[in-house]
Amino acid sequence: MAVFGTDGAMVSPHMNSRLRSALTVAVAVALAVSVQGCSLGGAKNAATGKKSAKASQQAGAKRAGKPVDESGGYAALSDWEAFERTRRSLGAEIDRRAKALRGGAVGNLAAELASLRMSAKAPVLIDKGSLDGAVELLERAVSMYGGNGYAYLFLAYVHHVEGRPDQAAGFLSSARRYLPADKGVRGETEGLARSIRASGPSAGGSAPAPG
Amino acid sequence: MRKKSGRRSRAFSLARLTVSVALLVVPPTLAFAALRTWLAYEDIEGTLLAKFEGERWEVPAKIFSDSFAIYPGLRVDTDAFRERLERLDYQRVADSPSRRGSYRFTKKPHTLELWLHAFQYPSSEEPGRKLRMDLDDLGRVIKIVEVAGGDEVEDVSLEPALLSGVATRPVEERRVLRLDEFPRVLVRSVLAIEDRRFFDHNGIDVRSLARAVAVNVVSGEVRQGGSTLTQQLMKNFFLTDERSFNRKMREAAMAVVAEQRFSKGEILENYLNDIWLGQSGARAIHGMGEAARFYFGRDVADLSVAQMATLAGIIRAPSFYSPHRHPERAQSRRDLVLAELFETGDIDQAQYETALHEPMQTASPDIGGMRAPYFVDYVARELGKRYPRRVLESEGYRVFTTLDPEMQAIADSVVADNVREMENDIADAVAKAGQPLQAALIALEPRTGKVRAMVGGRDYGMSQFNRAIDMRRQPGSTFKPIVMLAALGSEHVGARHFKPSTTVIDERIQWEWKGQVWSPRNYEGEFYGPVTVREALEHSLNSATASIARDVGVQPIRDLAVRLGMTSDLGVYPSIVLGGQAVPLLDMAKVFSVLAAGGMRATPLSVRRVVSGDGQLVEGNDVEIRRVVPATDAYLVTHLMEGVMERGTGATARRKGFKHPAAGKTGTSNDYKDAWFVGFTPDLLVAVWVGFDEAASMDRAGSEAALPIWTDFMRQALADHPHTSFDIPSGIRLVDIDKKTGGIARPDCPKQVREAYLEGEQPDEYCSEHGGFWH
Repeated sequence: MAVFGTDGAMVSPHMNSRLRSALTVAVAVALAVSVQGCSLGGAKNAATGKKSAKASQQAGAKRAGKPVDESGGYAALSDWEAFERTRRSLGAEIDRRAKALRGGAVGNLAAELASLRMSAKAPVLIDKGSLDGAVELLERAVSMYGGNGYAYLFLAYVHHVEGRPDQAAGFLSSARRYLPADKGVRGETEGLARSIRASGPSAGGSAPAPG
Repeated sequence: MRKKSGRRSRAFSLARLTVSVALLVVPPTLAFAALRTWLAYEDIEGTLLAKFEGERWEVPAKIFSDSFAIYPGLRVDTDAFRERLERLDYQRVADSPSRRGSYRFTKKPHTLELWLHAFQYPSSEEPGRKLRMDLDDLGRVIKIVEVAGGDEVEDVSLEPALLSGVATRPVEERRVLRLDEFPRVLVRSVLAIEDRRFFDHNGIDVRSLARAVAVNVVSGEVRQGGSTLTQQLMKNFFLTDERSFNRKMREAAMAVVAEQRFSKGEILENYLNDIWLGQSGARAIHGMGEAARFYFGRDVADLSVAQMATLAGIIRAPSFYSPHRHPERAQSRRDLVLAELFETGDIDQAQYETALHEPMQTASPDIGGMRAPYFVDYVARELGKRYPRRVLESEGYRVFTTLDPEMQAIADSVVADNVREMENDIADAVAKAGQPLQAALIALEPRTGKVRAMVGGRDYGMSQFNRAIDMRRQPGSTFKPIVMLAALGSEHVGARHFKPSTTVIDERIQWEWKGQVWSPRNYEGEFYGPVTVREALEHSLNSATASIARDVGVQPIRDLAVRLGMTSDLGVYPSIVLGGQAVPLLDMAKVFSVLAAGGMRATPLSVRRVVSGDGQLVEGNDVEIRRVVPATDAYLVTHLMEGVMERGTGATARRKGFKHPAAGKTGTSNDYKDAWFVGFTPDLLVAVWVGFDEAASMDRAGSEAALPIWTDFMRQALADHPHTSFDIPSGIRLVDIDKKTGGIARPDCPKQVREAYLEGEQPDEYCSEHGGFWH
């Protein structure tokens, strides 16, 4: 009677393992001798052994997540006060829409709110070093609400950190177009624009331009 | 006596000779046999090791769609949302969902209870949470609560749908699981019906073999195999289906060595992952993990006892007992397994009774089959440029794309329906052309470039040529917005600076170019005299547009088209301004998406992430955008194209009930060989082409052939989406003007139009003809 072990593996309590081994070897030898030409000739799937290393993966790899110590964390990218202002501004936008939605307003508010909430999670992911996760989240946020300037701003940050000034400039351009024109947030975008300019757009790239 | 003695002597000599010969021959023979045995054992062991410890199976890459976000405010109590769930194999249940992959709506209180499937995303994991969503009267989500723990969550995702595997030949589909991931009852079911003494034999079960021989001898035919699980696994791994003594002996030898070399658990795990359990076209369904999805749309962990018994039951003959094709046979086999389980005490009386009464409900047989075939081909081709075919067909990659399965389903059906209907309408043209009418559609998210739907032809079975990507046809008037963008843009190229209200003359023009004269005509053959730039575009006037283009210059227009994303090798000659050079549908979609995205060009994106079989990120493609024209310029042209929808050649869309703010442009090539419509809302751009593969007249313009497809698609795709207006960028002034004079409109002006201007270029004088008191 077979039973499950605690780790889920199957064990047979009945068979004496030495006896089993001896018997099986004997039977195996006898059978093998009786079979003429017992070899891999009849194999349906020839065993190929281990495959070569994952060179193909590496070749195809465009990006993997960067660890936190390389990114320096979101807050390290920008002036802390400016960042705090941006975060507060985003929080206020979220509150405003949540209130309007509770008040029965319709339109695209629900998608906008969900999109802004997603954006608010991104800096946390960036700080944890999950740049890839942050990008996925932010791109989804943009898909849900194309006027989400915060998502564009955070995307600009990530691309800047990852050394893609062209991309950073593109997102910053959209961020400038959609972000509220208050002083705090403008300080943030201008700071990032300076930073991107300092890192220099790559070949064929364009400097950040107003939307 | 002597005779006797002589015979004895001869006999003795013979015996001595025999012994001598035996002594001479037998030891080397035995040694040789032992050597061969040892070599054979080594050979088998090596083969087994390579298989068990190396790559056991070739797992083709799987292509997934995008996921779908659910959040407060989203309308979910709709047919479209239910269809979305059902496409993902969620089953509607009457009572509160009791397992992953099921859902129910309740009316009082209005809720959606949804138990998500578990899913491994590229950078996160959905464990398969049970959720309750409170809904308002309109079916919109008020809040989402995780049932276990009662935490409120801001948003959740419905997992991506499996579109297809990547394969150029028949493939084996499987989901490889660890032994401890298979439910105990499933494992016990398999053992109960296939090899009850699995833990008591050493690869060969002499008792069941003897029983099988007896049964076969009595019946005079092969009725029972008597093979153990280990023997079956050896056969599946290494041998053919040949019915011969030789093959059977090889199988037995290998089984014995395998049992010696590997644990029962390892053998069982391999068996459960490898066993063939059905066929769907060229796809062979292998392993319990894949079969659970294929037959029941569930993960193995979510199978009911009855479903586990069914899967175990069909091992013997998956086609004969197929739950899809022969549910009654599958059910009787299932009941047999259930009886065995009950007898062995693996299930109790209550479980047994419940399972026996469970109806045989299966998932749609096409689950996991090829959806969005043109898109899948496109993705596979793109991947093929970066990865060797062997890698794509064997290493179990998972490819996450941008496709929206719901939009794709809509696109498939509206293209097929409209083309069929149109073929009936233009039966003479079809007969004359001697070929079927074709169509293509591509839907993009303009701000991100994500490809959301793609149809490369009316019927993939009929023709695999992808007209959305690989075909080049003359775009006709869909090129005109590029001319207008060059003319109206803030770069002020050309001899004259145009505004939307600038008057041009629609008359026969003679455009001299490199010693030749080009003189385009309007479709109706008439000329309309003085018209505004807006009217020229709204009514797609060729002569007026050519006149504007001549002032702007061909080269700047051509350069702008390239900047907007046109990859075709555009020539520099006048007729390009009226779409005289063939281009791909995707190029036109890219160009228009710049306008929709306020001047940002997004690189079309179809593959988001590629993840290896062991969960490592292999490739990540992000949204790539860059500004190519100022937002103000893009808006000016978008505003004109909104007029096309309201008053111009696209107005049929409004009459057919599509009310979202939208902009678009029709296109018809010479002799009605190509019909185009490219149009967009701020969130979705769709380009449509209709025509014959071998260019021939179809007697239908873009507004008659392509626009209906576009309209039907947009109406359905955006049915539950709120209306979103185009953003008006700073630097734009909207002014109501008198249509006749172009002055600022007074209340008495009979025909007014709201016009967009670059800041500082708006008219500063009021209408001089109307106004009464104001005049």
